[in-house]
Amino acid sequence: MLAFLKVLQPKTVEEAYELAIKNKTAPMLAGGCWLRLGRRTWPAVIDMSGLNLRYVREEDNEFVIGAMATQGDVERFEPLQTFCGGAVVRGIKEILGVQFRNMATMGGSVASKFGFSDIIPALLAVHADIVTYKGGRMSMQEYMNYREKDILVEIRIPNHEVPVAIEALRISRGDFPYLTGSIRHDDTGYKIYIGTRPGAPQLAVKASALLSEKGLAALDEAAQIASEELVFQKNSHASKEYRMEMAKAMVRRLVKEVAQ
Amino acid sequence: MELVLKINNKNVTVNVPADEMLLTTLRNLGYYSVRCGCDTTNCGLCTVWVDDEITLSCAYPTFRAPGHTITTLEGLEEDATLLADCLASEGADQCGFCTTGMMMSAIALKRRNPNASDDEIREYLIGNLCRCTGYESQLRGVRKYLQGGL
Repeated sequence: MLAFLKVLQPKTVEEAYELAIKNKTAPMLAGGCWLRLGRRTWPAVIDMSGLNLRYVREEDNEFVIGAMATQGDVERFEPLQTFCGGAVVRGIKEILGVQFRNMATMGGSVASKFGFSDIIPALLAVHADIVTYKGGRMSMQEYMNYREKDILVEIRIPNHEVPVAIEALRISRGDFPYLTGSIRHDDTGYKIYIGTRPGAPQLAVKASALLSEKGLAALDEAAQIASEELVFQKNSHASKEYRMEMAKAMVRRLVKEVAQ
Repeated sequence: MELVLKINNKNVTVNVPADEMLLTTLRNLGYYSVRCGCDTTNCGLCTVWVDDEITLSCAYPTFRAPGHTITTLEGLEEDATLLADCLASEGADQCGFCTTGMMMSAIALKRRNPNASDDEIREYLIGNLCRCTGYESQLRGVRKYLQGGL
């Protein structure tokens, strides 16, 4: 259920920020899809729908996605359907049904930093930047460790085609994934990101460095290292050991996909 | 909160609590095609159109509805009649509880992609759960509807 006593309806990002600072316990209501799963009655919520942040466009050689753009808006934006092999759109299309994706917002999906996110590994791999009201522009990787109270304004993705692959493993279609991953191969080498461990997606630093240095000859070793250097844990979807084994297989598949 | 909603091309004034969801508002107004199933954005029973986009009314706060066009199955009588006949002729109307939500998706699909392939039909209806049919009869019924009916 989504229960609250009062709705605060700012008209600007600045006003929303001030309300968030003043009402520390009030959640920001974007799509509302995940807040709905809670059981708490909130004294107030801050409605983000009046901030004019629902847009997806190309601008100065970047794709710009407003925080209130829905997953469906992004999925239907033609230039992103093919960009980097359609990585961002492929990540989105795995999420539940069309109705859900017409409501869930990109800002809500990113700001929540959920470990099970299908979108975050894709955004990491395409080197997306996040723009917040107070903190300004930062890389997606920096944003994953950003803890300040702030308003996510938009996501900016450089329109620079590089080989990228993503994968999400789930027990059945429509379920939460039990492991997610992505890979990027550019002129600096490989970057491997693994999420749903069940923690939030992280860069596998040592595995990426090894693969960048030695190439496909070190594929098995890199997959092994990736499964050991990050913290894997159990939850209702998979055991720690199963995640570690599947991480190895996933890394091998991702590398082979970008190598093609 | 006093709000003016546009439902099936009629303006309706409602007075609702701040946290009321559109599902509750619509049912209180007598739009009984909109049904409550899971109430957690999973099953698709509560599907309505908000500005022609299929939307889960169980998670759509009513206070966001002013300025948007809300459509329920009651406002799509002609399409609904044809689709219902197609579904019935293929045995896709077993308990019937999921049918109205699924019809909202199928009619939206026809407007968005009238030549949808079977895979596209499956993909578009994936958010409408059915515990009776196994989906094959629904697929046949929707395919028949997209092809123009009986």
